[in-house]
Amino acid sequence: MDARVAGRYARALFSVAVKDDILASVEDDLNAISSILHRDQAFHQFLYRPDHPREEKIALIEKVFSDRVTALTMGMFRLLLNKRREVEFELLRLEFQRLRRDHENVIFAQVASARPLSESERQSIEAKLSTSSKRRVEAEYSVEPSLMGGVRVSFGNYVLDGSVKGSLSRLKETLIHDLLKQNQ
Amino acid sequence: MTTHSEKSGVPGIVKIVIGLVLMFGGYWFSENVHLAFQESLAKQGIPLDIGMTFSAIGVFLVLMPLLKKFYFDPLGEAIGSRSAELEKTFSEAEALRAEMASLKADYEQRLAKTEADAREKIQAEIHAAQEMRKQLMVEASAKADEFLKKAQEDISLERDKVLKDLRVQVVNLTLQATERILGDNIDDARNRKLVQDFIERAEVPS
Repeated sequence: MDARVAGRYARALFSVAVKDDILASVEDDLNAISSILHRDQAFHQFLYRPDHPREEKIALIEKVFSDRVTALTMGMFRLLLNKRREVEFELLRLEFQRLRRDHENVIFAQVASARPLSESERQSIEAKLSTSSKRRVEAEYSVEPSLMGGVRVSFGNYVLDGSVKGSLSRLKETLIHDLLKQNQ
Repeated sequence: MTTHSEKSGVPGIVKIVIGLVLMFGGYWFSENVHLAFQESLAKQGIPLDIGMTFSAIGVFLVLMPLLKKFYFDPLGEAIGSRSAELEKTFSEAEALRAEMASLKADYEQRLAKTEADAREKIQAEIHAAQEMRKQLMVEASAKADEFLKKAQEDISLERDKVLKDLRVQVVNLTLQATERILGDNIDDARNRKLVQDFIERAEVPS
């Protein structure tokens, strides 16, 4: 996969979507297609295998998606298939999301916790981030039992680690640093 | 003999002529003349023949130059030549002996010089070897000291490293044990408390 190629396709798609004011629709289309590709392995393999004729691939996506996605998304997908760049789809989607968030001044935060967070906890975290950064927040939540307890929030170039695992790691680093310093 | 004849001043040809005259004259005298005292002497038992005596002297005078010419002179020359050759040989031998002595002296001198040079060189080499030995000893000693110092430093570093590793290992083990204990003891209520604390205390960069 080539991130630069995916970036070019994403910027082209984004500029047209902005111009046509269908950003949300296109992103929903991309997310839906991505979701299907993740869920349906047979479809995934059919689409990504290079030995399948592209005419068949185009015919299939026309049949499956033509009445479910916007013409712009359909055109972009058809272009990817014609140029044999279908493997760049996921990178294109992520880059499109990033461009849309930048455009809408949105912070994307990845929140990991040892146990599932309640709705109120999620809202509190998003409110905290939104208040401090004065930007709207979009969060993606995941459960990581290895964190043992607490929560870890990553956004932009920052990581706010309130997990037990993170605390222990910092304690370990401090202890080792002190030990090494002691020996010098 | 030639020298003697030349000194006497009588040439050989004169002697031969005189000898021939005496020889033939004496013979003629012996045949034709008979003196009275000869007969008286013959009777007394002394057969003196004057003519034959002069004839014998004449033969002697004729023979002497011939002998001198064909025998004594070549013999003398041969002896002289031989003597000269011997003299020459002796001279050459003497010259050779002198040359040999000179060569021997020269050789001995050169040998002595060579020996002296060799001794000098050996002494110089011995001196150089001793200097080199001293230098090598100093260098070896310095290197040994350096190695020793390096080894001590290495040992010290290694000990520090092992101690460091040991302490890090202790920290790791302690934290692993802590993780296990915490993992067993964090329940849902504690987790929610931790999340709540994070929400209250986290400092979000703007």
